[in-house]
Formats: sequence, structure tokens, C-alpha cells
Amino acid sequence: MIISFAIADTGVNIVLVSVGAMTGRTAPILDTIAPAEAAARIIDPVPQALVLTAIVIGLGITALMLAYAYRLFQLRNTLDISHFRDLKW
Amino acid sequence: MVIALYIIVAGLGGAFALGLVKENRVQTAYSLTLAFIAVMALIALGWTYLFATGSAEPFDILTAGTKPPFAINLHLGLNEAVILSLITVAGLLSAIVMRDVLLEHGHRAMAVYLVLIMALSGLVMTRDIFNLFVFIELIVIASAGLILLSDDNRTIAAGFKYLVVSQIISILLLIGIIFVYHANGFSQYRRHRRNAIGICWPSPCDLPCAGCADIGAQTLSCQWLGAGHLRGSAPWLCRPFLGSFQHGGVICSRQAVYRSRGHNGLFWQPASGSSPSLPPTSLPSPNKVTDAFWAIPLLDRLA
Repeated sequence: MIISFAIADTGVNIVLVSVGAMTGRTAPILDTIAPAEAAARIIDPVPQALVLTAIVIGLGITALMLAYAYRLFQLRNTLDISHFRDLKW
Repeated sequence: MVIALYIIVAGLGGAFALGLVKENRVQTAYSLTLAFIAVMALIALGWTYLFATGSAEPFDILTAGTKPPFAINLHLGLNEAVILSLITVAGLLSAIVMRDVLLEHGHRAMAVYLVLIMALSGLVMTRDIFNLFVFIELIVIASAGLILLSDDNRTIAAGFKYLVVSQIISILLLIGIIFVYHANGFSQYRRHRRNAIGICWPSPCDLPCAGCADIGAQTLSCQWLGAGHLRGSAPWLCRPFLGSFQHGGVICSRQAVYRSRGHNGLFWQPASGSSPSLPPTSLPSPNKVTDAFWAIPLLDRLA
């Protein structure tokens, strides 16, 4: 379950970066581009910034879920989801 | 008056500062926690007073050294200041009430609690949907962290379930952000009451309805989570989770009203007089869709 969430997060991040990409434009680095021309030559950096943040947050969530899994294993001595009766939906 | 950004600085800085306090000096850590929350409350109350007396005008806090849409921004007005005051004062009172619990669990619980209050404050001030996602995730992490520190074994299963649900919701939120960004090309939303197409921040008249929805949703979700012990001991743990539903409900009701009045836009636009620093043509994918079934042509384009 934890791995599947990580994969789903990664997929969403890839889609977001893809949506923010624009053909024929370059990375949003202003060292080699005049600021006046930047708007026409670079892609929007906001999606990339969001994805970077989302990756970090995803790592935190994954770590937290692993901590929960560890605590649950300590309680029941198993990671079999069918043994966690408290998790019934 | 101290800039409102220091509310976030105090919360986050306080959480990190607690790590510098020795493990056995729990009382010192608790005093520091109270002090940092008190600073946040004082800043919020100060701005509330200034806005209420007309001594200050609502303003934006721009970050990243540029203007939206190539930056994230926070906004502070009377509504935000009042809600910030409620959050920080409630956080301070809760910390006083939970003194024994916080002392028992030590620095980690206090740090996570500070992050939770900071994230709730940021959620109120943000005007960027990307930032909204970040603060919601911070709230989730802090809430789940607090639940994980509980001694009651039943909370572990409930907390894991909470984390699973919040992950599903955050993935859906990210997908929604992708669609919004693709349709509009920017992520800012602003409180602009004359712009009938925009999503408005909940106004004071929304608060009673939102409050009733909050109480009902809190009870229902605690039951649904199978966590009656959470409801009894620490109901505020469920509150961030409910905020997503509550805010979504407010947004949906607003959109329904707008559509009933003949406006056909679905998502937000920048407020007039606050156009971005770059012309709209420079924005990526400015495919403004004005049809209610915007998703169909969008999917066609994606295909």
C-alpha cells in the first residue's frame, strides 16, 4: 500500500511537469537570458517548484506511513493487512 | 506592526528551536512552546486590531522576489486576521489545557504541535493553490505525527487510516491542480467579490454555515474513522482533515450560485487591477475554458 502511494505520487508529479512544459522553450534559469526576453523563452517555473515541494512532502508522508507500519508491526507482529481489524472501512 | 509572515516564522522557527533544548528540560521546552504560540497570537491579534480600526489596509506578501504568477503570495486582510487570531489563541489555550500531555510526550509533540498551528495559519493566508496544497500536506503530516505519539494503541490504526485517506485526497487535489493550471495557466486565486467568476475566500457570512458544517462533519468523520477515542480526547486532530471537505463545500456552493446567476466560468481569474507582471500571452497554456463541460475538450486536447 505504501509503495503504491509512492508510485501514484510520482505519476502525478510527472504529469504536472509535463503540463508545465512548453515546446521550444528552455529551463527557467535567467543567467543566460535577458530578463526582458525571459517570458517568451523560458517555461513557467511554478510547476517545477510545486513538483519539487511535492516530492519532499511525499517523502515525508512515506516516512510517516513507514513509521505507522512499524508501530503496527510492533502491535500485531505482522504486516498482513487482514490482521488489522481496527482498519475496517 | 510586525509583518504577518512572522507568524509562520515563529511557528517553524520555534519547532526547530525546540531541538536545541536538552531532552531532560521538558519544562523549558514547554515554556518555549507557549512563548512561540503567544508571539503568533499577538501578531494575529495586532493585525486584527489594526484592520478592525481601519488603521491598516489589506496587503499581499510576495515571495520569491517577483510577482504572481511567477511567485507565491500570501494575503492578509480583516477576515484572515480574525481567523488567524482564532487559530493561534485556540492553539495557545489548547497547549495550556494539554500541558500534562505535552510534558509527557516531550519535545517532539511540542514541535509537531507548533508546525500544526503554523500550517493552519499558512492555510488561511495563502493565495496560491500550490501553496494551499503544501499547507494541507503539512497539516496532515503534523496531525498524523501527533496521533502517532499517542499511547493508545487504537489510535495507531486510526491514524494510519487517516493517513491513507489524506493521501488519496492529496493525490486528487494534485490532479485537480493540474487541470486548473492547464486551463488557466496560473495558480493564484484572490478574494475579489465583484469578479463573479472567481473563487472567493469564505466571507464572514459563510462562517456560521461553515461552522455548522464543521461540527457535523467532525462528528461524522470521527465516527467514520472508527476513532471515538480521538473524538473524546483530542477532537482538533480531526479538524484539518475536515477543513478540506468544508472548504470544498464552500467553493462548490459558491460555484453553484454563480452558475445560477448566469456566469459560465468555473475557475478563478486574477482580480482586476492586480494583473500579473507579464502579459497573459506569456503564460503557459492560457486555455481559458468557459464552458461547463470544460473537461471534455480538455481531455480531447490531451489525447
